[in-house]
Amino acid sequence: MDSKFTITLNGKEVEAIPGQTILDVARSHGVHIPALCNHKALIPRGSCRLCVVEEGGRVRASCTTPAERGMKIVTDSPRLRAAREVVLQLIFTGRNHYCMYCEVSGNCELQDLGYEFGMDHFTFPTYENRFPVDNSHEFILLDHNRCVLCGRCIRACADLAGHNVLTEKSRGYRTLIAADLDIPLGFSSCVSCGSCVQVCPTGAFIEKRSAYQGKKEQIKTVRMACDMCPVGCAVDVHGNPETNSVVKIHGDWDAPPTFGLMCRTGRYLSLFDGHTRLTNAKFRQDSKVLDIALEGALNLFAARMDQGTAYVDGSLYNEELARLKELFPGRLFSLHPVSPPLPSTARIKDLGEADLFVLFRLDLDREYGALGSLVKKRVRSGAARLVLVDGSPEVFEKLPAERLSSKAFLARLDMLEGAAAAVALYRDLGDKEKEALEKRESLRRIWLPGETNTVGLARYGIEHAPVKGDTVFLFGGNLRESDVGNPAFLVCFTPYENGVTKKAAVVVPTLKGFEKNGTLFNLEGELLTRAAVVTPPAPLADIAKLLSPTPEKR
Amino acid sequence: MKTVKIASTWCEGCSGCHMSFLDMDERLVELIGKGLELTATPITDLKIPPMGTDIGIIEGSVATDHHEEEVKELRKRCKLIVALGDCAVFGGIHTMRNYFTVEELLERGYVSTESTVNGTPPASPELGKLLPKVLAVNEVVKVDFYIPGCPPPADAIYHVLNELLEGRMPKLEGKLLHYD
Repeated sequence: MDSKFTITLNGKEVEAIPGQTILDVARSHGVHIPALCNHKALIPRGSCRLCVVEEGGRVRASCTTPAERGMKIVTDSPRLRAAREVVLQLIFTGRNHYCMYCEVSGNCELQDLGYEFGMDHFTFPTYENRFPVDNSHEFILLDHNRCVLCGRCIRACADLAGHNVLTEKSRGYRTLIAADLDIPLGFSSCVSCGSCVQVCPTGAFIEKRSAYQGKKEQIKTVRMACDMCPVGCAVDVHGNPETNSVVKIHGDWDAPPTFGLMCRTGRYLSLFDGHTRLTNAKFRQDSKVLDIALEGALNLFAARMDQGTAYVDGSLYNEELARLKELFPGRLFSLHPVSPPLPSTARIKDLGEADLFVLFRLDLDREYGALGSLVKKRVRSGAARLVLVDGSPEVFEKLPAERLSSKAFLARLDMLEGAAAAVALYRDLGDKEKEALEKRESLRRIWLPGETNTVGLARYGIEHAPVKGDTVFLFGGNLRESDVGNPAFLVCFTPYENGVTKKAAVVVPTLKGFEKNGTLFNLEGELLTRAAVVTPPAPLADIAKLLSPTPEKR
Repeated sequence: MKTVKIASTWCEGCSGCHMSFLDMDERLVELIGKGLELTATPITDLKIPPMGTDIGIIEGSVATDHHEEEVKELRKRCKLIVALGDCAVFGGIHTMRNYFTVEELLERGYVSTESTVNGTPPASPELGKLLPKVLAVNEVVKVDFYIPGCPPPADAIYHVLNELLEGRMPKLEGKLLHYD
């Protein structure tokens, strides 16, 4: 391909790079062209026709026309303005784009265009047709009346997230976004990654539980890493300081490891986890459970601290682990395994170039959703084969895959020979699997740890050990009843009520996700940061500063 | 000093736009000082403006035959018509009923509402008859100027009237132009 060339943009010679569209070139030189269906993370489709420019006497969509050497482009003229205004009027009047009671008013790309064009009334009859509203989904509401048929959701669902759930049905102005073979979204194969909502320029896709919780100007956005799994997607957390709540979470298009991709867990379950929050410290006396002051609970803990062993899970941040190491020198262990069966030899970005995936007992869509997207995209495009070892039948059920038992896989290792860039993904491996994988250097590996900061536990030298002893201190958000036996004296530091808190002699409520600052290591060993967005609902223990001298109370 | 006569009316609206008009506060006095004269408005409680009124301001959408008559009369009597607020400009929140027939609407509103017992739709001949669809003012008569917003900010109304009083054609931009 040619190297850089020049085109004429509004009478000025500017440089263009092969592969750029006219819109790309204009934007890279700071020339504004209005556009609606275009989105930087998506493949251009040219359906809205707002980005039209004049080229050689013709009016063409700049988002889908590649820039060519010597092109003479005009981006603004009375003719273009007239064309764009008609298009905008048609879009506004085709369905219900009355802003007043729309959730996204104030944060809508169509509304912004209306303002940009100074549109102060409709020139076509409007509200002529009524379209359905799909309210079947747990988190997402699809109001077809607000849809502009830009197709961003379809492109995000297929090209970006690899799920291929959304499509179009019917034709012309009656076209509707549909899920699978036209079934309600809530009953479709949607995995609730929420990419469609994030790219929707209008209020057609809205997040039900975030809706009307704060307008753009009330929202404070903080960029951080998701702490729901060890992938650590880069996210923008939208908080409303007035109501002290997190309104919604969007992926960051420009940041590794997953460049805007998210999953149900990160986008929705991190806000609506269904757990019962602990806000009071508790003390168990005989069979009675008493609510006690936080200070009292900490005193009880401090008095017995030197007599027992402490255990943590992988939900804690590095700062919390560091403090606990200080408090429990040589007596701090991990509840869950911290070391990989085999260390990783590939990075998350390598998934985008893999030609064979071998997945061991993983349900990526549910457990590591953003990685599921990366794998699905590759497999669906035909660029990679998929082998599922000991996978349950519903895993990736829409994908072509070889589904093998571990034994059958081990008997057919020769199938790996043809692959140039095979990647194995696993959390646990059997001894024979381990042996088989270890021998094959061409088969690269990504270990998916069980908990968010499992890698952090390893870095801080906190080893896995089963719970032992009469006096036990537990710290974490992922505590399971099966983790612990029946120690005589159990102190539990956790944000939620769970099976363990029912056994504990002392329960201390702690900060959780969006209430604490800190860092953690993702599965690649990258140091990720978290920032507090909301203040805790009650005085809670901050493990990172546990028993450290606190500033005087005001 | 040349006076500029204005009249206003509200059709299918909530009076919010007139509240916004009054929200100009002391600037209303300033405009009157510049020659603004209120004729028939809901504020002065006069019904019919004189022929040749300069500016007729309409709040609300056209939802009944009464409204239709009213805006046509105002159009006849005024040199310029200003559609004030989302209902007059776009049809507004009342257009929600455009997706139902008038019969369905009245049935739901007056008969099948959960809190209603033995209800019947009002049938007094005094009342306006609902049009099949709620219309923006410009679907019924020619409109010369639009001030969208629900309600439009007092600043926008002041800007438009002040520009017209000073003989310029107003333009709504930035914070003065909004749809919600």
